[in-house]
Amino acid sequence: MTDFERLLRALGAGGVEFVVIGGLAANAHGAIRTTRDLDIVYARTAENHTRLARALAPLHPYLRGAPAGLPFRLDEPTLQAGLNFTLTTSAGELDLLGEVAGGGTYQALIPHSRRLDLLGTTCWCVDLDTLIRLKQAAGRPKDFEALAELVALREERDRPEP
Amino acid sequence: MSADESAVDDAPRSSMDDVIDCYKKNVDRTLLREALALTPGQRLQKLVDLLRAADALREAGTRAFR
Repeated sequence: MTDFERLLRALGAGGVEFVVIGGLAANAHGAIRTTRDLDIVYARTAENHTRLARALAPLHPYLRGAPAGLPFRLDEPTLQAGLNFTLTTSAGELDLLGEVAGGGTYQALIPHSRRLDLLGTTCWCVDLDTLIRLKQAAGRPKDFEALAELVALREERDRPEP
Repeated sequence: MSADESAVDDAPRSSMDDVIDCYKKNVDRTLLREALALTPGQRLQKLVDLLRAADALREAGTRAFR
């Protein structure tokens, strides 16, 4: 099971600039569907790449689904050369996204995010409207049920008190 | 507004919205209302508790049917 608390704490303590998106953000907003990985959009700066690599090093990040023994190392040059990384760590599954369809970069998402206390770590979490737009932009059939739940959630949230 | 920010602007209604409307009929809104009464931190704690319970159940099932 992914230890969300440990992953968020590592990122927060390491001073990493990131925004939580995906299933955990959906749960923070009130969605019921469960998720088993943490999706974040990280700032694409050299300083943040260094912080990210340092923060995750104790969790032994490795490419998810890749054969064992590959010479993979999540360091600043690797982050600089790549963009999106689907990782497995000793604290569970983690997706690092440099850009996301429908939302762009970390800098683009910040105005559409809120600071929330998530399992003991205060961090940016994308707002519900933007989360819906991201899911729509992904356009994956497997997301239709999750997207319907998010739209219903927004309707319930915005429903006037009886 | 930058080009990046415009990427998250409102989009016109698409055919996918009709598909989502069909799926929306199956959403249990009573659970959503319960969740909306909690704080974000409480919602995530419930998720973590649920995942722990599911893992414990899976392990127990694996042992029982080994």
